[in-house]
Amino acid sequence: MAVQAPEKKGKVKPVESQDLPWKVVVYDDPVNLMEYVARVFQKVFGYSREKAEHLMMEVHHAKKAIVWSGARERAELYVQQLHEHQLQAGLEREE
Amino acid sequence: MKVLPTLEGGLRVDLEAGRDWVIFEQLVWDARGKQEGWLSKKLGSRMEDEDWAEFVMPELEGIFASQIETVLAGLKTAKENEENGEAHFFILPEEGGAWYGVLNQARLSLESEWKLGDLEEVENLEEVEEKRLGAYFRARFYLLLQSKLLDHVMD
Repeated sequence: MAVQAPEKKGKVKPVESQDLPWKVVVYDDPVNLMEYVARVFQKVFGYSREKAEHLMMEVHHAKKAIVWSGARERAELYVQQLHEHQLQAGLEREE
Repeated sequence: MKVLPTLEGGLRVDLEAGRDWVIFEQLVWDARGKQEGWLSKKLGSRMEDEDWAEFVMPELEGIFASQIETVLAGLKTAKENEENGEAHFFILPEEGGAWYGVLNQARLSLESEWKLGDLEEVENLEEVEEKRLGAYFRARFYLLLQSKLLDHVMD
């Protein structure tokens, strides 16, 4: 006997594998000062000055850098905090 | 105009002429951009999650608007104490982030509209359209003030 699938009410988010981490990516822009970007990395992620500067330089030269990877919820929180500091940031899925 | 660090870790800005007021009035105008919520939309454009637009972007809009309110309040106080076109205001240590944010909003807005980064390669600025050139010089001023904030207020 065929059973009709229940009608979907509202939008359902696709199920995603819990295993694959999400990458927080920061993109280069012509406005944000390099010193400021490094300070934001220190503040948001708690990175050392050296690591923050290294990542900032990677953003500058490669036009983008993965600054953190891990669980989606936390990654989204970090992106929000980066946006609060007006940095161009987004999420990418680990492949 | 004079911008000097204070002993309390802030900045004192002395406005000495009418044009000094104009640049700060223009700052707020530039920061607001041409469309309400433009910056949160721009930043959120990389986020495909629908919840982002519904929940995060309004919060960001609130933060950016609040920064502008802080700056407006400081300018209003200065305007009330103006004498013969001269006035001063303070950027307190706790206001440094808001001021930096507004200056950044303004620079992002100007860059988005006028592509000012391209002008760094131009040798003869006299050939640049007047409005774009005005935006370029305002952005340069905003950048200088941001540098002062980073050096003296946001340590």
